[in-house]
Amino acid sequence: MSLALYRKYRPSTFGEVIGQDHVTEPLSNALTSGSIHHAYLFSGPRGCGKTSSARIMARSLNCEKGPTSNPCGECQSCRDLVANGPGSIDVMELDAATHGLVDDARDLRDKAFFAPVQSRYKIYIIDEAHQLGPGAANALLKVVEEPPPHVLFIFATTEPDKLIATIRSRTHHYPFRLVPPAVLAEHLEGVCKQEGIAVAKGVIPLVVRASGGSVRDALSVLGQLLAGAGKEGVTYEVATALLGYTDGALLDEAIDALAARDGATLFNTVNRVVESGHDPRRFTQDFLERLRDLIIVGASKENAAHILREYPEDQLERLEKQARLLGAATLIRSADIAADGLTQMRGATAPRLILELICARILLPGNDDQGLLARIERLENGISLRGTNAEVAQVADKPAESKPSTEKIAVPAAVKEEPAKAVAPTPKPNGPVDIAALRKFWPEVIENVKKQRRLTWSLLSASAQVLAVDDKAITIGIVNSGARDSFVRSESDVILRKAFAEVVGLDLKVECIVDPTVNASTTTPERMSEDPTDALELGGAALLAKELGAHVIKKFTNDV
Amino acid sequence: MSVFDRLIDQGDTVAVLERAVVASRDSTDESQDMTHAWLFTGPPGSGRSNAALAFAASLVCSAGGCGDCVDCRTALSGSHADVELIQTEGLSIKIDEIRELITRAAWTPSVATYRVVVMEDADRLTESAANALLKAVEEPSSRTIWLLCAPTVTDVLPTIRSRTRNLTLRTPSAAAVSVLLQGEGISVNLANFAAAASQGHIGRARYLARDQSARDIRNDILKLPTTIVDVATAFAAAARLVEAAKGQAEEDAEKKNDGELAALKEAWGQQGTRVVTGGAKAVKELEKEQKSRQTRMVRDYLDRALLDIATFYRDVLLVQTGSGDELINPDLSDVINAMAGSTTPEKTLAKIEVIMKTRANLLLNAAPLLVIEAMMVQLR
Repeated sequence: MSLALYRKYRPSTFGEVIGQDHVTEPLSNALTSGSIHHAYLFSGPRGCGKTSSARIMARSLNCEKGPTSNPCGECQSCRDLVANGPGSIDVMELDAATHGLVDDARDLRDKAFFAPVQSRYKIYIIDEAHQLGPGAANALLKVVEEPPPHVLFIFATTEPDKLIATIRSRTHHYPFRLVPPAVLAEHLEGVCKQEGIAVAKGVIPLVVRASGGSVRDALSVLGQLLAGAGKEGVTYEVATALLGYTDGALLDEAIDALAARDGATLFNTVNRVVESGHDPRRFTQDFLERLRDLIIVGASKENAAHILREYPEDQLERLEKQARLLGAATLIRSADIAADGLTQMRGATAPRLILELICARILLPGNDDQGLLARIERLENGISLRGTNAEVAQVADKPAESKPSTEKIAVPAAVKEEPAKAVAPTPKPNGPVDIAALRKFWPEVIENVKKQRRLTWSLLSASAQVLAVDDKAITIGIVNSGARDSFVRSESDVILRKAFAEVVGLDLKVECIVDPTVNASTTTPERMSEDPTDALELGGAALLAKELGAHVIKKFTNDV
Repeated sequence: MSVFDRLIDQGDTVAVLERAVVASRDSTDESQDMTHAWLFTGPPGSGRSNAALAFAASLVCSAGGCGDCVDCRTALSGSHADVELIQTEGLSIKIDEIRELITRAAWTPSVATYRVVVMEDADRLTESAANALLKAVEEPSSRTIWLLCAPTVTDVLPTIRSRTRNLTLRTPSAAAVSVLLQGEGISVNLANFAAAASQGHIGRARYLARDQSARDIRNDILKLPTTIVDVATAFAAAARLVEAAKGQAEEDAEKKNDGELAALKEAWGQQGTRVVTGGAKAVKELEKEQKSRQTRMVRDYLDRALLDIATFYRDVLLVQTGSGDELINPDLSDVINAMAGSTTPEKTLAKIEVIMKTRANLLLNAAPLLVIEAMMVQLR
C-alpha cells in the first residue's frame, strides 16, 4: 500500500507551501532576521497547511545552520523532521483532542523546563488546539506567556475563536486561508506529473471544485481518481462518474422543466437521476450550484462570461436563456428551497422523497412572501411575452385634447404646448394590470406634470407613489393627509391624469389616498435643481397662504 | 463466491474495493488504489456497514475475500481478532470510547496483514470524540485501516471528511432488490411489491416481503389518510396510529427483553428465585435500559409510519402534476387517483410539509399522541 497523496506531498520547507504567501513570507523573514516569538497560533480551514507549517517552523528553527527559512536538509534535525520522517525528540506534536485534560497540561508544563536533548529549541506543536479543555488551557497560560528560553509553542486549530482569549493574546496569530483555484490547479497538475499519470483536460477543475479550496481535500479526491485511472489515464468521464457529478444534460432538463412549469418532466428527471444511480443529494447540490450560476448570469448579463469561466460559449447562451425565462425572484426562491432541502437530507431519511419534495415546493409557489414574488414575476413575464397591445395607439391619442380646459391656474402657454408635441408621437406599451411597468414610467409622468404645473409637481415629486392600477382608476399614495388634501383641492388629479395619458397612454381616473409608507426621499435631488426664477415658484409663507388659507401674524428674526 | 456478493446493485463500488484489495496485497504497489482511511456513505438500507465489513473481511482474508474461510466468516460476524467493529445502540459514541480505541488501533495486527477498524455510525461521534479521531485517521500506523460509515458526508466533521476517501453507495434499484428477494424464495409479485414500497431499503423490503402482519400494518397505515373527513375521524386515526406503533414496539421489545433478562439472570447464577449479590441491581439496570429502548422503538415505528403516509401523499402529488407512471404504492392507485382528483397540488404539498414537520417534532421528544393528533387534524 502506498502513502496517501496528502501525506506523500506534504511540504518540508516554506517554499513548498502553496497559496499562503501572506503567512509564509513574514514567517520566513522572521526566521532570517532572527526575530522569533515564543508562541505562535496557526488557524484556518481544514487542509490549508497549518500542521505542515508548524512542522516546517520547527524544522527551520532547529536546523543546525539555522534558524533559517531554508533548512539545510542534511543535519540530523532536518533529516528527522522531514515530511514522513521519524520525528525528533525535541519536537513534540500533541493532539489536544486526546491530551486536552488539565493533567496533560500540568505534565507538559513540568517537562517544558528541561533543556532540549540535541537541538536548539524544544518545540511543542499543539494540534487541534480548540479541543483544549478550559482547565488545560488555563494551566498552560503561565508557561506560554513566559516560557524558558529554549521552549517554543505552536498552536494549530481550525476554530481559533474556541481557543480562550488569554492564550490567543499571548501568541502571534497567523490566519491561513483556503487556496485560490488557480494556485491549487497548478499544484495538482504538478502532483499528477510526478505520479506519472495522464489526466484529461477538465478533470483538474473538477477536483478543485470538489475540494472547495482545501489542499488535503483536493489530494484525497485526486488520489481517488488516480486509483480509478485506466491505461489512458484519468478521463473526464471516469472523473465525473467517480465524483458522482450530475450530468450537465440532466441539470438542463430539470431547469428547462422548471422554466416551463412542467411537473411531469421534472419528476421524470428525478426518477432518471435515481435510476441511473446518481446520489439524490449530489444532484440537489449540483442543482443548487446551477441555480447560483443562473442568478449570476441573470444579474451580470454580458459580464457573466468573466465570472463563469468554466462554461463554454454555447452553454452560457443556454444559461442566459434559462435565467431570462425563470426570472431573479423565482431563481432565488428555488435556490433557497434547494439549500433548505439539502439540510433536511442529513441523517437517515429517504433522500429521494426529499428531492421530490424540493421539486414540488419549487413548482408550487405557496403563500409565503417569496412565493408571491415568484407568482408576480410569472405574471409579468407572461404579459411582457404577449408583446405590445394593439389598443395602445387609440388610447394614447384620445386624452391629449380631451381635458385641457379644466386647469384653473394660469400656465404659460409655451410650457403647456411643449409636452404635447414631444410626447404624442411615441406610443408607449400598455399593460392594464402591470403596476411595475407603470412605476417605471412614474419619473417621466412627474416630469410631464412639472411642465404643466409646478405646484402639482411639488406635491407629487417627493412624497407620492403609484399604489395600484386597475381598468377604472390609478391609485396614488401620498405621504400625509395635508398634501393629499391640497392635491385634491387644487384639482391636481386632472393634471396628473393628463400626464399619465400623455406619457403612458393610459387615460384613467386618478384616485388619491394617504399612504405614510411612501418613501419620501427618492426624488430630493431634483428639488435642488429647481430654477429660482420660475414664475410659479412660491416661498414658504406665500405657499401656506395660498394652499391652506393662512395669514401672517407676526414676523421675527431668529438670533442664534 | 466473494464477500462482495453481499452487496446489492453496487457494481462501481465493488470494482473500486476489489482494486484496493489487490493493491493492499502487494507491498511494492505504488498506485493510489489503496488508502488508509475510507468513508462509506449512502442512504439508509443501501448496505453501508455491509460494504465496510466485506471490505474489512477481504483485507484480513489470505485469499482476498473468499467469503468461506475462517478469517472472512469471523470478520463478517465481527469477532475477528484484527477487525475492530464499533457499533452503538446508544445515541452517541463518546470520547472515552474513542481514546481507548485509538490505542488499540495502533497495535500491530495479530494474525492478518492489516488491523481494520470499522465504525458503523461515524455520524454518532460526539464532537470531541470526532476531534480525538483526527490525528489517528490522518496518520495511522502503517498497517491500520480506518473504515467509517455515515449516511451522508455532511454528517461527519469536514476535518474527518478531508482525511478520508469517500465512497458513495447508490440506492439499490427496485429491480435489483426484487431479484434479491426472489433469490430468497419469495414470489415475483410479492418481491416486486416489497421492493417498490421500501424505496431501495433492503432490510425494510425483506421485512415486508416475509412478514404478513408487517404488510397488514402498512396497509392499515396507508389507508388512514382516506378515513379522515372531519376532526372526530382525525382523532380516531391518530389514536389508531399511535396504538399500532405502541403495540408493535411492545411486541418486538418483549421478544428481545425476555431473552436478555433470562441470559443476564443466568450469568448472575440465578437458581430458582435466589440471585447472587449485585444481581438484582444489574437486572434493574437492564430493565431500565429496555424501557428507554422501547420508547425509542415507538418513536422509530411512528417515524416509519409517517414516512409511509408521506409516500402516499407524494404519489397523490405525482398524479396531480401529471406523471403518474412511477408510484411508490401502486397497490393503492385507485384511492390515490380519487384523492388526486378531489384536491389541488398545493394542498397536497402542504400536507406533506405537515408530515415532515411532525417527524421533526417527534425527534425533538414531543408527546407522540399530541403531535400525531395535531398532524391528523391538519391532514383533513
